[in-house]
Formats: sequence, structure tokens, C-alpha cells
Amino acid sequence: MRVFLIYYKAINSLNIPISAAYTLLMGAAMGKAWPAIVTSFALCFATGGLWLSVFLYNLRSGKHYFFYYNNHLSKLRLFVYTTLLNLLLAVLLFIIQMFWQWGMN
Amino acid sequence: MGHELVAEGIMKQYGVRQVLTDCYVTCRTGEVVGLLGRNGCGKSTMLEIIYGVRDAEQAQVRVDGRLYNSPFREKDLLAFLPQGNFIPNGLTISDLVKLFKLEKDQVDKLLSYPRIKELLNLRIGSMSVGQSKYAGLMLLLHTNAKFILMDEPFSGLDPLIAEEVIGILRRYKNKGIILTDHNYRHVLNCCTRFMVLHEGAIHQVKDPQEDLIRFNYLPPGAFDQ
Repeated sequence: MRVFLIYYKAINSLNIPISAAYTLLMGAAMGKAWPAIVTSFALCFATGGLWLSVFLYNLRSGKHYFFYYNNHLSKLRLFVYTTLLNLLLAVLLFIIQMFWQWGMN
Repeated sequence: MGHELVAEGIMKQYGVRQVLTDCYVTCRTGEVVGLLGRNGCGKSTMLEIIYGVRDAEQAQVRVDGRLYNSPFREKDLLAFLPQGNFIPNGLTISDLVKLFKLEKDQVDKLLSYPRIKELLNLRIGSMSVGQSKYAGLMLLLHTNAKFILMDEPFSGLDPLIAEEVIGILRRYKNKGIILTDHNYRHVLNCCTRFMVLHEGAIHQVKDPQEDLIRFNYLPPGAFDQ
């Protein structure tokens, strides 16, 4: 678990700025209200931002996968766990935003 | 109890180029097997196939007769030291000892090396290439893995550390080690058995002085100096 969290932290340290930049750009371009901005961030965080982060990690730190292999974790397993955890966080973010909106109305 | 690793029928093709043709490698615990070969002949590829992290057209890896599809997934079976640093930069040797779940006697043995003590709380990212290589190598040697595959373990090490590593590898009798390196003098110094990868096939080296020249790995007269 601790070994996986090292990977998770490394991927999301790339993913969060990427998703935030995408959300800000899209929000500014489309003049979206904040609930839509939160949804955009959550979507990017769980999909495109994550895929781009994994791609960049492979380019920059590909050798580090051997650290995870030496701890019996495959590339696929790392990717699946990261995707599932990010999806969970994105859904949570979406639900919080829904409740917030519901409370405001 | 001794263990035996047998990798057989290894075939790998890149496009139309057949890199490995029905290669056969064995290693017993207590052996240090040196794999030599020219640049691009497929040494690293073969080690990665044996470890189970690279696809091959065909490969069978057995330890003590049991077949493994992805040996790296098995606990206490194989470890791999790649070229370059494989440890995330933010970690220290103290962290790694916990993450790799080293046993107390292994930790004590690891910490008995003065160089390791010096580097204990230094982040891998703050170490030099040679220091991080040394730390990774020493860490893997103290895990419970029965076999270690080492891809260029001497690259980046200064002569003093390289000599120390050769001494350590020679003393290690509870693991089987397959290593490849371009510094053939280091390989010849620390290995108990040699193989050369030539034109996609593995050849056992009985007389290094003769065979390494015959398989076009060394120029004629290389041992005369």
C-alpha cells in the first residue's frame, strides 16, 4: 500500500496542475459557473489529466517502474489502482458539488 | 537449500529483426553468471524477459522446476537492478529498508557497510549517480530474492566502489546473480561462469581469453595488455 501511494503521489503531483490548468482554461474560455468548473476538474482529474500524467511519468521516470516491479507491482496494476482511486475522488467531488448546489437552492 | 533458475526458449523479434533466438540461461544460488555481448545484441532485453516485464514471442522461466509467467510478481523470487537509478528521488535508504520489508539481520548487515551508513538519511535525488546505483544494488542484495538480475551494475561506480562491489558479489553465496556489463574486466573478476550473446544465440564461455575473441566480443590481443 505504501509503495502504491508513492506512485499515486508522483502521478497526481503532475495530474493536479494539469487538470487545474485545463479547468481554468476551459472555464475562462467558456465563461462557466463554478459548479461546471468543479465538474470539469473532476472529469479531467479522472481521465485525460491522469492519462497525460502517466504518459509524462513514463517519459521522465520510466526506470522508476523497476522500483514497483521489485515490490511486485506491475505497471497495469498501478494504473488500474490509480484510475479507480481518482474516479472515486472525482465522484466524491461531484457529489459534494451537487449537495452544495442543492443546499444553495 | 540451493535453487535453480532456468530460462529457456527465449525468442524476441523487433519488426523483422530476430534479436533472441531460442536462448537458454541457467543460474544456481551461489553462482554469479556474467552475460557478455556487444551493444544492441539483446542482453538487457533478455534480462527483462526473464524478469517478466517485457513481452517475448516465446519464453519459459522456471525456478526449481516451477513455471512462472511473471516472475517479478512472486514474493522472494527475483529482483532486478536496471541501468540507471530506479528508486524514486524523494526516498532515503531508511525509507527503503521499511518499504522492502527487510528482516532485522538483513538490515544490520546492510548497515554494517560504512558507505551505506553515510548515505542512510540522504534522499536518493541528492545522491550522485554512483551513490544511488550503489544504494540500489546493496538494497537488492539484502532482500529475500533468490535471484538478482543486474543490468550494468558497474556503470557509474568509481573504481574503489566497483572493487568493493566485486568483493561483495563474490562473497554472496545465498543468491544467484545474472549480470551484464560492458566493463568485461569487472565481469571476469566477479563471475563464476560466463556466457556470450552472439547473433541472437547464447554461447557458454569456457575459456574467456579465447571465446570472447572468437565470438567477436573483444578485439584480438585484448588480453595481451
